[in-house]
Amino acid sequence: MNRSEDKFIIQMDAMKQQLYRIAFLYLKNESSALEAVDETIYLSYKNLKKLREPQFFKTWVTRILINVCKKELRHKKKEELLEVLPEQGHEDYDSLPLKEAISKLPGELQLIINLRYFNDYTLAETAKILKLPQGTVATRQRKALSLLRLELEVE
Amino acid sequence: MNRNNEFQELKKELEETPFELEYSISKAISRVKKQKRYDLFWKTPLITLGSVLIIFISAVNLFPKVALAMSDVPLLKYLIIAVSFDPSLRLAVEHDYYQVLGERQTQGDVSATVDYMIVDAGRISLFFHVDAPVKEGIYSFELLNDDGTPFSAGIFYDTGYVSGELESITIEFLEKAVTIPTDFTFHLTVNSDPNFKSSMEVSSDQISPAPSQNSPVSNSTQDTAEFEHSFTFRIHTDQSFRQTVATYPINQYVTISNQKIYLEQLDIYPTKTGLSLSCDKDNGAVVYNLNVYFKDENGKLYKNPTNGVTATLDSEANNINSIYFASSYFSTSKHITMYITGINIIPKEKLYGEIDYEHKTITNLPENIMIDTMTLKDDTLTFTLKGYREKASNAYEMIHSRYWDETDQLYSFGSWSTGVNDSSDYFTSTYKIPDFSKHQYRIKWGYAPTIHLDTPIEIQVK
Repeated sequence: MNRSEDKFIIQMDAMKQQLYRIAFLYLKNESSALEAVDETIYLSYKNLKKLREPQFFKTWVTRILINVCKKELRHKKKEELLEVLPEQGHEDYDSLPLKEAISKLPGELQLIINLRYFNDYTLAETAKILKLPQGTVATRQRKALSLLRLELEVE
Repeated sequence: MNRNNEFQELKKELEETPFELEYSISKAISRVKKQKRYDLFWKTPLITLGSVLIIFISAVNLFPKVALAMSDVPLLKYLIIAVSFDPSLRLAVEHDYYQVLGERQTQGDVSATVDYMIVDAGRISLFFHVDAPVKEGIYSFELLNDDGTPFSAGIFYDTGYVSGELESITIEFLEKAVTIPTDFTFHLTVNSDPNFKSSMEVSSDQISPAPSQNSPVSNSTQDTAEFEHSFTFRIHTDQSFRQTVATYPINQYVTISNQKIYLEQLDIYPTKTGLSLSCDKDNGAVVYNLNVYFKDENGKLYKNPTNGVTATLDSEANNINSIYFASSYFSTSKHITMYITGINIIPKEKLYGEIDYEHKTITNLPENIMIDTMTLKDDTLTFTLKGYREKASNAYEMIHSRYWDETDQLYSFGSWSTGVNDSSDYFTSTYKIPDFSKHQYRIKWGYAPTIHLDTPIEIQVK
């Protein structure tokens, strides 16, 4: 076993539970989430040499995971592409259990809540993963929290 | 409940992660290393042609930071990690379902040790390691009955080892009439050439009576006799292991997409589960795949394995006649329900495709498959098919490994290469047909898009 492999294992071991939580919230079932994590770790290890800035390992791997999850949903034909953020009556989310309310959010808002509040990614990290300006992430985050009636730190 | 409290509860709920996650990293690294070792990428549901015995080679790299001690039988934890890619094998080991062999032989500076074996009524998995003065090399093997005849008929792989790491060989017995031998000989030849370069060829002498002109026969052995070391192990299979299977009759007909299918029985082995079925001969299409999974009363799913044989076809290599899944043998569940969620069928009149070089096409091209390239050079036709990956990271056999000419002479694609671009929804497979101008050739399609059922068919099996 070589040094870069050692390092990969240590970094990935620290991340794997977080990756699973992201995938589980995204795909909504255990076996799909496990498969997505397996595939993500495989793709990450296979393409490790393509990572030019090792300090961004975490965001790079997370982006791979999200792409894997999106692909899985496309295959299941369940994904709704977010073009426009639809306006939902506040009462729609209010009456639902939180887990269900989150699942009904538009895809991008769901992802932001998933990364920011269930997996403790910073605003900067989330923006890098989603390839959005930080301001856009902050706006959408506020919107999602408002829809869910959650009072959490906005950072 | 206050919304923020709900959030904290939900966050707490998500802190629990499944046990299988512990093996994700080792599985991934093993998978990458296996690909690097072999030039040929082959990750596909492996549909066999109804042979009596199929050998599936799984060479698994060890994950842990410490290599095996030179003189010790590997600690059990290495076996657990070695089987981490297979949930059924892992459960078997966790329930002490394995035999410790621990037999070591040495020739000069090379040793081979047969460490463990896992046996049930449908499978033998052997785990061994090589200690050599080189980091890696290749090995070949034979498995012989008591009378000296090989029972590992047909397919031999020259495959690679990493010195000091646990390797595995699995033999799957797919015909119920075949019994696991009580004693057999494992003949292992190890090459410790320091100039070894990774390569792999498949050779076969079990293609049906027609001459297989397109099959490479030679093994990838090099002229390095001085580096070859042969070892012969006599292996005994314990009766308590080799007859182990639980059978549940189903005996039901289902009709899916107008195709009538008979579901015969479910055989649950410690290392796998096998569903036997047959398709009505009057069906208008061949059924080459059924999407099936099982679920117990606790919600645990049993799906196709990610390694090894996942299904077999009948003797004409048309209809599916068995499908394999992870094993529920060691589960405490009392009930198992089968769910059929989809089917893949090819109308009989569209089963074959005639190769038309002039128009760079093949007739009856299935949906989701296209001709990527087709070239003719020195009378060898090379064509690449491009297939849509229905499921992320999946490749599949788009055509069968055999083809025919206008006289019905049978040939075999001895080997083919498959390429996958991970960022693409497509993969490619490239085939060659020599002496192309001499005949008109046809291939047999092995793929059709999945027809997903709106409502899965549910059948309680146990």
